[in-house]
Amino acid sequence: MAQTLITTPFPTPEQVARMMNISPEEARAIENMMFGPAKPASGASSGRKPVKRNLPGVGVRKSLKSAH
Amino acid sequence: MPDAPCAFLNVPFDKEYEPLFLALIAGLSGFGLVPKSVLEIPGSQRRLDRLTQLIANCEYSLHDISRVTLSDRVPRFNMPFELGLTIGMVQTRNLEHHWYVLESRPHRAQKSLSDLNGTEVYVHGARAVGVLQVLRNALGRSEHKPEMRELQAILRDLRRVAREILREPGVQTLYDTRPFQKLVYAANQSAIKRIPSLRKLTGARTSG
Repeated sequence: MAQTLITTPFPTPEQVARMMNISPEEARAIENMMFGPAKPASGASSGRKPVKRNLPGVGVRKSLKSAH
Repeated sequence: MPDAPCAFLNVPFDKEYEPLFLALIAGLSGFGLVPKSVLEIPGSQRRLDRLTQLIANCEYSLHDISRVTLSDRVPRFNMPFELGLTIGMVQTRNLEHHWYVLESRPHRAQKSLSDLNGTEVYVHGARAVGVLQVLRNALGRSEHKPEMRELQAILRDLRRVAREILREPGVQTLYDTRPFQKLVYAANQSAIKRIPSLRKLTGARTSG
């Protein structure tokens, strides 16, 4: 079985967006559909800190000694 | 000529074919080709002129002749016609163009289109995974060579996008200009994410 070897460079997203008339907004929407919203760049803050939950009795392990 | 290598899709535009249509877009994108279809060329230009221009601009074409059966009691001539058109253009214009014939059942093309005897017909078994296997048999890459599991991952991403597109207001089918263009863009994005060696391409997200 003969196989055709493709040697051309892989098309970049910019090339494909241009060929398919995809605007930057549409490109973002499509990427979100597949991968979810983009993560902020490293070092950048999303402006919201993770909530630290300290529920009583959860994750607290008493030692055997202290229980007596 | 377009600025990236293109593959013209000559396939039936019906609901049952959608899983294979998505597999073709996913698989071709995994091999670094940009799928093209007559769907994406609106306008008043004569359809035949649009077709010939599109085929001539593509270095590759895939012709699925598995659905030449009757539709509303009329045989579907478009697929074999466009295949003949392509072969004619390649032979008379000396085009640098590779064409492939796809079927769902083995040996059927020998009966339905015996003029092709001696030509390799790729059988996909009417299954999306069969389409991906066909593409892996027909195409190769020395660089950024996609594995089967990577092509399947692209297909899964594309199915997700297809479902979202079909939820958009006014969208009835994937066989239309904008849905097709969005699917092609999505498949390229997914390929860059799913094929690790491609992640260095500019603009690609590398997370996840």
